[in-house]
Amino acid sequence: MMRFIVLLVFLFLYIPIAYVVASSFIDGGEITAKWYVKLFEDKVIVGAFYNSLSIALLSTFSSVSLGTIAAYAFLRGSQRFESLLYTPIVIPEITEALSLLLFYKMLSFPLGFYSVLLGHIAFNIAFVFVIVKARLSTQLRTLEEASLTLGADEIQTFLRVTIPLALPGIVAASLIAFTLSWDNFVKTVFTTGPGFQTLPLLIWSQAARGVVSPSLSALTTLMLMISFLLAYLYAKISTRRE
Amino acid sequence: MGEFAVELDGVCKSYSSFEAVSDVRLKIRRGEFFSILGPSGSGKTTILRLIAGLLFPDKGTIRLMGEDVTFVPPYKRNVGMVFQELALFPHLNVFDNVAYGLRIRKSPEEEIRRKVRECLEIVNLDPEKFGKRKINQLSGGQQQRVAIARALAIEPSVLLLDEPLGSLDLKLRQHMMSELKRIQKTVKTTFVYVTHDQSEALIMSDRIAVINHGRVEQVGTPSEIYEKPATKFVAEFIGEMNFIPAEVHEGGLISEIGHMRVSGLNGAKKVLVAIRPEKIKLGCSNLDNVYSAVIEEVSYLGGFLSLRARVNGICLKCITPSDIRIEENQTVELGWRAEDAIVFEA
Amino acid sequence: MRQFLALPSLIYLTILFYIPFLIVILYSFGFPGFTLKYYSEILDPIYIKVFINSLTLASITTLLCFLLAYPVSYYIALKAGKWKNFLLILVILPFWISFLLRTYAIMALLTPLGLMFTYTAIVIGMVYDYLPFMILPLYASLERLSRSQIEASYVLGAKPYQTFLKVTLPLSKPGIVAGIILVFIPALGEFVVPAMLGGTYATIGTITWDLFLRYHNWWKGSALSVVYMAIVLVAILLYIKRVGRIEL
Repeated sequence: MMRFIVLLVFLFLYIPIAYVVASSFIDGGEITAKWYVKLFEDKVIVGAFYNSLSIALLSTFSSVSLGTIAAYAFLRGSQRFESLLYTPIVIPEITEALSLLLFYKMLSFPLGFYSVLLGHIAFNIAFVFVIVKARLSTQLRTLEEASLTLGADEIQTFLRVTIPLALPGIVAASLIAFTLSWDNFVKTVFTTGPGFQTLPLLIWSQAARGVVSPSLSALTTLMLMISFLLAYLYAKISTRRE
Repeated sequence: MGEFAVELDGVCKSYSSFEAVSDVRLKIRRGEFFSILGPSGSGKTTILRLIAGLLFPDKGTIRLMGEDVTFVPPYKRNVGMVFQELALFPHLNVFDNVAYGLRIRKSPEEEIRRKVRECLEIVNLDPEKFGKRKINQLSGGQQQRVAIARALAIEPSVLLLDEPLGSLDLKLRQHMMSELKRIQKTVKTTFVYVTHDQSEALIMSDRIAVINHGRVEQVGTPSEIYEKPATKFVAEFIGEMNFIPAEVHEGGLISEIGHMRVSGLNGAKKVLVAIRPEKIKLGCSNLDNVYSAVIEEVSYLGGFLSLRARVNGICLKCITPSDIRIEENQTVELGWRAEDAIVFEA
Repeated sequence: MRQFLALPSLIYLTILFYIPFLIVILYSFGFPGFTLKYYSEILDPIYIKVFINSLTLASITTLLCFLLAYPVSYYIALKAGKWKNFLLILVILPFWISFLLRTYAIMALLTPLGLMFTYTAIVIGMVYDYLPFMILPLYASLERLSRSQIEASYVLGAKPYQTFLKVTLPLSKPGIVAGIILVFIPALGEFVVPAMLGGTYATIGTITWDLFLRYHNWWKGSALSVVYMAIVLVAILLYIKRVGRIEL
């Protein structure tokens, strides 16, 4: 009986996705990849793709740099200011989004690429901080001390001990930060300006009117594939660490 | 160069308002196995970290092999350290762990290979078998040895060990104690060993410093510490001790058990007379102090009996060979020689 | 000294997270002026209805998610045997797919079924999107349950349903509470699902959107957000009181 419910739930979770993927290959009555071809020819879509990619890469790089050294700073035990770095995760996204919009308005900051980027970096820092901190060995300080007593100075210790041990956490956090930025909708839509589109915004502009189309399904399928790829990479990193 | 491997002079270290180490003076000789013994929180690890250079003192000087190193960073000090948590590098295998210090010094590869083999063999680990293994594939005892090998590889002038045997089970600990002694004799390096376990200190050390609340209570050989404790703390901390409160009067020393004769009074009015359980003899009547006691409890310890005896209001612990037949509630005569008791100011 | 490494992140977040937050509060009081009129507008019956809509929707979503998630979590944690890791992967995978894409997928399925723009559609969409958020915390706490506790219960004479009610359910409470928090709070402010699937259905999220991006009424929108945040804070404080602290 329980197995039946479990099966139903999994079917529920995956049938819509399967449907989208399937319908993206169908035109009229035949199976075709023409929708995908059209995607690559559509300048607007390609533009949005590059926008999404640049924002994701830049926000990942910035947030991972800032968040990692912050995690390193808070390594031994909790200190008072630590929860200040967690808060962006707990606050609902829409509240963060509109607060940024007001902030930009007050400063007359132009809305577009940079306004979106700065917002992405803000919430990514929090996630990077949490992930890197969780994966940094609590032994790290002692290991660094051992390195110092063996004759390595601070820089050598950083390169030979700290970085190698922090790397798995940094890579994991990078994947997550990239995904969050790449997929982000709510914050982006509030902080974007005229003419600046990312892929999620593009999908929204069509789907919001209740439009379900094969080309949109194709775009969605591509995005899904990218998500699965990122998930796969993350799993690979996690298991390699043991 | 100096005859002492390590000298601490007037060293003090505080954390916020807490004084971890106060006015510590130690002179550790070259080639000795020196233990720093004390209860948890007594400051012994702090002293070790000060010697290593992981901490700098607020006051005082530290010398290694005659050179002032008080504010010299650890990587310039040529000390080796075995940490309590071992701190083996998880991302390196056994060979690379042991070779770490040598690689930092940019030793040539053949030299490194030779030294790593040598150090692994000193700690009884087969380099062929263990060299390529990852740290998490080793047992606790094996990891312990790798940590020692790694610290020895850089040929330090002093090897510091921070309670290295704490996490090992009893049999392994006993085995490692003799191993450590053997290793130290082989490499002839000065060992500074920190522990809260007195049996470790008594068994392995040439000399011991007993620490309490950041201060040195006594420095001496194991038998000096045991037979002639300098302070009440040392008397109580090491081994078992009976304490009998007494007062000095014209006629002599009066206590709850009666008159006592001791071999030296220091002028104080109220004293504590300390006597080791094994110094209390049963059934001998030609001792300086003899009392009538009721045996409350008898425990058989193999070759010995541990007795709890009551003399008037005072409970005494005695240890006596088990060839005497004793039963509970029996009344016996027990006593000790005057020179076997130690007098402390109360 | 090492603490200073955290400074860049703290400064960044102060400028781009905490200060904007304060700005919202300022605007809610009518910045650059000062007035309480926007709050009184928010407490208007029309808006009260919006709050009730959102609270109801969030509650239904949470309840349905719980009813569907519990058997799944229970099964994976305690009965799946060699399938455990595989099923776990299947559960975690949707997390990597954005809300937007998942909602589109449901939309794609509902359209031919003719269920679009109904309340049912919104509920289905909400449950679809939030289900993984309930499954994982429940799984985590059920996983910690040791089998021997359940076996002890059987040995003491309890039947399966009694064991479930008296042992399993209470011991999985931390997971239940975590799941409720992870679903209810974001669901309260959810915007994408009601907008895409429900057309003109008014929730806190959709009204906030309208106020900000359509009517450019920063002040009323801020007041609405502040009230929403107050509700969220109360919920979080209740959670902390129950469980002790925030565990991520």
